[in-house]
Amino acid sequence: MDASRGEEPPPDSTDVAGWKRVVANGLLDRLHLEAVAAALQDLRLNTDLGLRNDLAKNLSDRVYRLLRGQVGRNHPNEGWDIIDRVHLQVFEALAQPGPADAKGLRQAFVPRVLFRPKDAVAKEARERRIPDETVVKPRQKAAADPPGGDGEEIEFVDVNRQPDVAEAAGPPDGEEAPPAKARWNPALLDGVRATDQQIDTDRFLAENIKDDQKRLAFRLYMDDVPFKSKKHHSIAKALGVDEKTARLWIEEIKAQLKEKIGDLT
Amino acid sequence: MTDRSQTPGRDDVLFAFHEVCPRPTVEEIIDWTTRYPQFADDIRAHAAVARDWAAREGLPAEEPDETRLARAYSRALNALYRADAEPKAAEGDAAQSFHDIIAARGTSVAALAREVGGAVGIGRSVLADLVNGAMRGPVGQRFLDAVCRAIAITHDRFYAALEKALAAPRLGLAKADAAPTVNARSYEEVIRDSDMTPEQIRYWLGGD
Repeated sequence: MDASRGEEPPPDSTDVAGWKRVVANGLLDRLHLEAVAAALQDLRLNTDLGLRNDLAKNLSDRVYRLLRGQVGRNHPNEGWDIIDRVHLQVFEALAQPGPADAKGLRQAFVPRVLFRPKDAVAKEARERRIPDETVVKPRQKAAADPPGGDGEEIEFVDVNRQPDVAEAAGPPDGEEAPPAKARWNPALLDGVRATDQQIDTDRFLAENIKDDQKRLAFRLYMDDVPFKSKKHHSIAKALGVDEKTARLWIEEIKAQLKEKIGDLT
Repeated sequence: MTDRSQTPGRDDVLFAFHEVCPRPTVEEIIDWTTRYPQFADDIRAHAAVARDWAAREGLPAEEPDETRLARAYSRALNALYRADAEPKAAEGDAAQSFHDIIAARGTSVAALAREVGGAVGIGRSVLADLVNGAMRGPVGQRFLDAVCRAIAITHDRFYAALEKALAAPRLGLAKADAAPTVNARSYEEVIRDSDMTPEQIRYWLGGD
């Protein structure tokens, strides 16, 4: 039995004496968060402040740690604003009788709590997203286009994001899908190997790619998902964008990654 | 006929999405955005969050410092104190009746009976007797805790409301040949005379 995972049977949520014993024996941390939340909710009005505060302190610390462990630092104020806001919302929900949210916390505390920062982060990302006003104009197929390309080279007329990135990347690869099983352009990895340094892709994406949809597109690209496909699922369909936009995003990230590797070499 | 009340809301859909797809694949994203086109942008935004979080799994968890934990605890206590103070402020010096409290909570005797009964169940007539001044105290501990929990009041406020109910009972329909009266019965009598099952009666008369 893993006591740290809350496998200790909790007292009934209205059992004052039982909860006092748990606190006195220092066993609160062994109990599921759902049980502590239920006890705090049921006992807080009809017990002494000592027990109420002990339950609140345990729950507060555990929720705060849980949130810090999940919310990355790639948010305004390193994520502390989201953490503080969600932490407070949890206690406001627990303090109110009846709402569905408070009941949900008694049944599935961690998923319910973690849904809040996920939603906050998603909303923040949507608000931060710059409307994509990129205009792509098809040009004549260049002789050097790789096989499998769509015959069009992308010209950037107005890129709000980072105008020079695409030029730095050079022409798009033109392939319909990333090479099977090859998650990285070998040329990109060469630079890393040469310096014997490992690029942490996830950290790179978190720290450098602010647009959540571009990050998602790149993760799907790394899953070998094609840009567009009539037979299979595609990045374009999943993200609700056209193929050119999907390609543009990936090229943009690859260019930044290439630049990063250049800085390391 | 479509039951519109069953249509899941935004938060329900997104919560379920995270539960079912902790690391959403392209198939899952397309499936969910197709099923819920009205939330497609939200689903994509949440898919990005889920993938970002999944990528961070296994990394050592950061530990907040004691100062931040103490501040968070202080805010938590404030939230609890504020919630406690609101009903008191609304109540003023005068005790509220059960009817007032139930109305303030936006609930009803029937809903309260469901809430108080929980998995065991309790007769609606028991709650009706309580709120209408037809039940004398003291009441059973389980019943007291369940009612207080359901309408978020202290034991003191419960008994203040009970006194008020007994002092001003709500009368049923009068018979033509007699003045309406309310004969308040003890908690035990109300429970025993109710139409609850023997198991339910045993439960509500039992103690913790």
